[in-house]
Amino acid sequence: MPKEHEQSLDPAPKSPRPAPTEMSASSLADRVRAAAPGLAQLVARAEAAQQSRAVTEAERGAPRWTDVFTTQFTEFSNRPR
Amino acid sequence: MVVAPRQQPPRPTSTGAWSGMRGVVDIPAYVLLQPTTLCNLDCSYCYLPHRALDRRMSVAVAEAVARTVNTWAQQVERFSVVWHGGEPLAAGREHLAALMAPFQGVEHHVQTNATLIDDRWCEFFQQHQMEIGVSIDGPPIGPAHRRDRAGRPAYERILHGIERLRRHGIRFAVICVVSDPRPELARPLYEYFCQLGCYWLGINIEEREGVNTRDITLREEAVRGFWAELTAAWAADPRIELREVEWALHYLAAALRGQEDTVLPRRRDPVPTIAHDGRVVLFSPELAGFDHAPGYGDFALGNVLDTELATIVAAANQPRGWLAEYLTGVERCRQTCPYFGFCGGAHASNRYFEHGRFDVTETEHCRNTKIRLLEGVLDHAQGA
Repeated sequence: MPKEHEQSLDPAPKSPRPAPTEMSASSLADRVRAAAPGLAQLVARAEAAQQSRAVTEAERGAPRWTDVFTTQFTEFSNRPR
Repeated sequence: MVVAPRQQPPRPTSTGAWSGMRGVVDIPAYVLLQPTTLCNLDCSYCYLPHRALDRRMSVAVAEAVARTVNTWAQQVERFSVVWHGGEPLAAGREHLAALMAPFQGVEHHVQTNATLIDDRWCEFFQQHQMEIGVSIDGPPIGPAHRRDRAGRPAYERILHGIERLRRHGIRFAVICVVSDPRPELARPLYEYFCQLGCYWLGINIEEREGVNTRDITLREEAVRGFWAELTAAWAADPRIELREVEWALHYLAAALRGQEDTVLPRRRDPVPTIAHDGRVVLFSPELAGFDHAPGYGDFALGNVLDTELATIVAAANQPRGWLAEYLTGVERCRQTCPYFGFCGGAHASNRYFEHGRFDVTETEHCRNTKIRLLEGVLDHAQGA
């Protein structure tokens, strides 16, 4: 009979207050602008790959796993709300 | 072609202006069900407390879930039932078939460690038109975290199961846990999965969750470098749909257009997870299966054996207890975090297991899987 795992949740001690991240929204926007040329190439690459896959998926007529299994990325479901 | 930023709609130039993820959808996209708590493996990073015990879901629980789900499925284009564990295949074909039988008009998915897959399971998958997700962590380099109770690496048994899938022409997605992300690991890892033949890849950086209390603090440079190199490997050969990188690019494309506030769903999906005994947890499947969390009990918001699933889910829009505390934390994320438009707020389980409460904001999971991901993709783009 296997021994059951100890059910010790042992969370870290309660934090006194939330810890906001250091980077501001404007600096993230600045980062995006600074990376824009390379980023545009990557985005084009992604869109081309996704279009190619969409053709395959349509021919297959089956659901895409990405649409469903989003346990870690619950906010990233492809489905419209 | 470089896409020039445009002025409309307004950009959330200060934190707190993000408009997505307010409230909870009436009908989720999917439910997760735990056919058994048992897993035949004993991975070192696993969060599940009862994985050595075979506590099986009863058909009565599945029927109770199906009463709501079948109604939901009639109202939407697609609805999915995800069988998750423990190891779902450890429930056996006959029992899994009995649990699946009450559901109508849904798509079935399973996340498996693949070690039990044989020809009969492949026939089962095809008969039930199931979509398959396999958990495998890449080539056997370094310590074997995915192992059985005797401490033996599970790698060869996982490969055997995958070979069965390939012989039957069954496509599969992969979830890969990375415990030690660093730049030099990224390219071989991606190339390995290209060779393996999966069509979709999700990377989970190890998290401190549940009964996994290992210190998972990682160096920022290593994690950012990992994501940057993974982006480079994917860009050179984007044959696999790479969850993290492609979602980061989805967000960054919107940011280039000045539309970064349009990416998040308008309302949050509650991700109902039904444990083997009918208890329901919302928002974080990793919270299911615990009984005595100090101050929070079992996290369950109801049990389908005495309350309709639809009623339990609807209560999320009048949150109480830990749910109200979690949604307070989400609003704090909205107010303070410039990455909120990409992330939607730290996950409930990470808040609890890292900080002991739900109303905190940034977690180690946020840093490793959201912030450093986005920054790593930007690093690669800037150097490209």
